[in-house]
Amino acid sequence: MRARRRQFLNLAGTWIATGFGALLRPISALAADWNKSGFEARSVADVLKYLNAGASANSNSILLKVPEIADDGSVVPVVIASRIPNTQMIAVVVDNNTHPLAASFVFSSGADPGFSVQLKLRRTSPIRVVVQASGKYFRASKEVKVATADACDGGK
Amino acid sequence: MANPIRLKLHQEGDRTEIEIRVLHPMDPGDVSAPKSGRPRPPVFLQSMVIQLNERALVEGQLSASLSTNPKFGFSFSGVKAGDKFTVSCTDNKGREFKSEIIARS
Repeated sequence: MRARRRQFLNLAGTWIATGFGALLRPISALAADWNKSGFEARSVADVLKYLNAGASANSNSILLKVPEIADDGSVVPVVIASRIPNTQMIAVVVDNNTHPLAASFVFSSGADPGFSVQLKLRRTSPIRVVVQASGKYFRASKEVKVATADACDGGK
Repeated sequence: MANPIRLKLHQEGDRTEIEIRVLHPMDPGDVSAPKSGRPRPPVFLQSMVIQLNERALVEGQLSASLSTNPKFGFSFSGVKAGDKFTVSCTDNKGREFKSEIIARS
C-alpha cells in the first residue's frame, strides 16, 4: 500500500514538474521550436514530411468552415475544430501558396482543439487541415476560390 | 507604443472564447524584388502562446501566410471569474509582445 502511494506521488511529481517546465519556458525558447523546414517548404508533400504526417486518414470528425468564394485573397477567414479524441496538434496548409504551411497549434487540456484564423491565399486553393491525435494523423480539405489574382504573397 | 495585442473574452454557456487581434504587418517580404531591385526582408509573427493562470494551453507556430493584423479565436472550458489569460507572441525579428485579460464571469 505504502509503495503504491509513493508511486502515485512520484507520478504526480513528474506531472507537476512537467507543468512547471511549460510555465517557466520563456517564449523566446518557443520561437526556437519554430518548424523552419516545414514553413519554408514549397510543396505540400514536403510540408507533410516536416509535420511527420506522411500517412494520414481522411476524417469527417474535422470541422472545416471556409468561404466558397473569397473576394479578397489577403483575408480569408477559416474555422477549424477537431472532434477526434486526444487531438494534440492542428496544422493548416494552403496548397497553392508559395509556402503552403500557414500555422500549427498544440493544445493542452482545458483548451478546445480548434481555432479561427485569417489566411492569405495567393490564388484559388484547397485548404488542408492536418490533425495529430494519439500519435496518428488525420486530414480534411476544402477548396476556396479566390476572385482576385495574386493579391498577396509578395508576388513571389 | 500601444500594445499590438488586443484581447476580448466572450462567454458562451460553459465555454469561454478569446478573440485575439495582433497588429502586425505579417509581411512575406519580397526576396526577388523584380521592380525596385531592393529586396524586402519578411517580417511576421512566428509564435503565439495562450496561458490561463500561467499555464500554457495553446502553443502556436505562425507564418506570413496569415493575414495582416490577423485575428484568432480559441475556446476554453472551465474558466472561472478572476482567471487570467495571457497571450504572448514573438516575431522573426525577435520582438516579444504580451497582453493579459481577466475573465469576469
